[in-house]
Amino acid sequence: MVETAARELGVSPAELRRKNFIREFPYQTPVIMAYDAGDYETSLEAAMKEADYAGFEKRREKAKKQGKLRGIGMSCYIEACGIAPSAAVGSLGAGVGLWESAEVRVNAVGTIEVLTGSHSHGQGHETTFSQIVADRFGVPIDSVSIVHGDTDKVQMGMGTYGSRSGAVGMSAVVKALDKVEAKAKKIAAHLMEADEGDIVIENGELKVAGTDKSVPWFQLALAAYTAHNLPDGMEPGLKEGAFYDPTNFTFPAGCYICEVEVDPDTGETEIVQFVAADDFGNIINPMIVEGQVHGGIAQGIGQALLEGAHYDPASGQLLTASYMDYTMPRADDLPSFKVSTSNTPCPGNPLGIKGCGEAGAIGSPPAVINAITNAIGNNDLAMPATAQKVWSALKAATKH
Amino acid sequence: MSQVEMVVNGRKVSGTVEDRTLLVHYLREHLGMTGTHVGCDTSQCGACVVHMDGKAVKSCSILAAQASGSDIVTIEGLANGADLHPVQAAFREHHGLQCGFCTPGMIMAATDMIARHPEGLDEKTVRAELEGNICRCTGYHNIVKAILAASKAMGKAAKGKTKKAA
Ligand code: FES
Ligand code: FES
Repeated sequence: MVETAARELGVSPAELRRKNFIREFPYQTPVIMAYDAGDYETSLEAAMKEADYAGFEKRREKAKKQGKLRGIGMSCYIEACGIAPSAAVGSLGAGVGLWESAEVRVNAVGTIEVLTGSHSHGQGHETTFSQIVADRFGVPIDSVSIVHGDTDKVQMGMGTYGSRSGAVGMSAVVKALDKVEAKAKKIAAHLMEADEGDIVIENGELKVAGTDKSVPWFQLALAAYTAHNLPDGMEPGLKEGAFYDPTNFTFPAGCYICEVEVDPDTGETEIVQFVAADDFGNIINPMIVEGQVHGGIAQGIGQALLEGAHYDPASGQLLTASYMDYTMPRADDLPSFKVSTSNTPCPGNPLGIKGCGEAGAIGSPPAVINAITNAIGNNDLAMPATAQKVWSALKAATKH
Repeated sequence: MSQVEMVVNGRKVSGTVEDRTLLVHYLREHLGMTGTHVGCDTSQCGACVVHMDGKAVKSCSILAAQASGSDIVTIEGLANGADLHPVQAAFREHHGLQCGFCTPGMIMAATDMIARHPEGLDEKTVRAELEGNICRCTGYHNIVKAILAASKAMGKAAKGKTKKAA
C-alpha cells in the first residue's frame, strides 16, 4: 500500500516511509498495541546502503540492454511478538494466559538442568538457553542441559510460537536464575562469613568482593545439598521455579529490500538480490538469529512466488496435497541473503530481547511483490506471482 | 516376499521383505536405522538420500529388492567413530541445520556432489544440484555455505594426500 501510494504520489518509496516513521515512544496505536521502543530509520538506512539502492537505476539500464526487466521493492515491517501479556490476550478473547514457565535445578555436583515450557524444534534453545545460564554463573556451557518437550518433567508451558521463546521463555529462565543466584549468594555469604551484598559470581566462583575469599560453584552446590552448614532456617537444595507473564508485546521491526529480474517473454522472476536489516533488540546468539531470518525469508519468497494451495472448485478436493503439486522453494530459486541487525533493547523484558522467528517471513513477501510490480509497471499482482501471472500482468500493463 | 541381502555401512545384512518394501523402509523399519528420513516418499524432498554403490539415490524410490546385492552407505555410516565426516563437520560449523529433518539427505547428497566435482564447486552449481533436496528451516543459505566450505576443505585434504604419496 505504501509502495503504491509512493508511486502514485511520485515520491521515493523510501522517503514516504521515512516521513511516516514513529519517533516517539511509547506510542499507543489505535488497536491494543503500545510500541515500546524502536529505531526504524537505522534499519532503512542499513538496508538501502547494503542494497546500493542509489545505484539501482544503473543496474536497471544494464538489465534492459540484456532484455530483462529489473525492479526493486522494499518493505518496512513491524510485528507484535513475545506473546503475550495474559490480561491483554484475555481481553481479546483468548481462553488461556500466555506466560511461560521455567525451573532451574542445580545438581549437587554443580551441573545445571533447566526445564522450560518453550519447545525447541530447531530454534536452538539448547544453545541459547544454556548460554544465558553459563554466562550468569561462569560455568562451562556443557554443564548446562535444557529439558523441553517432556510433559513428564516440565510441569507447565505455553510453547514456541509468536517469536516468544526468547522474550518470554528466556525471561522465565532469568527469573528462576535470579532466585537461584540470590540463594547461592546467601549460602556463600554464610560459608565465608561475609555480607551477602559483597558476594560476586565470577568465572565459576562465588567471591567476596575485594578479598581473596572464594567458593567454587560446584562446592557451593554440594553445600546446598549436604546442608551441614546452611544459614539458620534455610531449606536445603538449590532449585527454583518461575513463571513470567510479559508486561507488553515486543516489537521487532526492520527493512527488507528485494531486487528482481523479470524475463518479459516468459514472466519468469529471478531474485537477484535480497537484503534484510532487522532490529531484534538484544541478541543472545547472532548465528542462530541469522539462521532464523534466512529460513523466514525463504518461506516469504516461497509465499510470494511459488506456494499456492489449490482446491478443485467442483469437489472441494485439495489439489496441491503433496510436494508433487505444491511448490516449495528450492535452493536454486533463492540467492544468498544479506542480513544484518541493529539492537534497540526492548524495555519490556529483563534481557531486552524482541524476538526474530517470524521477521523474515513477514518482511519478504511485500518486498518481493513490490520489486516485481516495479519491474513490470503494474501494481495489480496477486501471490503467488507465478511466471504465468507475472506475464499476464505485464501484458495487461503494456496494453494501456 | 523377497529375500534381500546387502552391505549397509560395512555390515552384511539380510532378510525377507514384502516385494513392495522400499529401501528406506527396509533401513528404518527392518534394520532400525532411523537416521535416513522420509519426507514425502514421492521423490521430491530428498530427506531419504543414501549412497548405493557409491552413488546418491533417493531410497524412497528404490525397492529393497532392487538394492539387494549392493553396498549402501547411510548417514549413520559417514562419521569415523567420534570424528565427524568433513561434510558433517561443515554443517555443524556453519549452522547448516535447524530442525535437522532434511539434514541426513542434504549431507548424503552433498558428499556425492563433492565427490562428483573434484575440481571444486561454486554457489551456482551447489544450488542447482540441490534441486532434489528441500529444506524448510534454513533458507538453504547456510547449507550452501557449508557445502562450499566442505568441498574446499576436502579438496585441500586430497591435494595434501597426493603430495604425500608422490
Ligand atoms: S522421502 Fe524420498 S524424496 Fe522425499
Ligand atoms: S533443517 Fe529443518 S528442514 Fe532443513
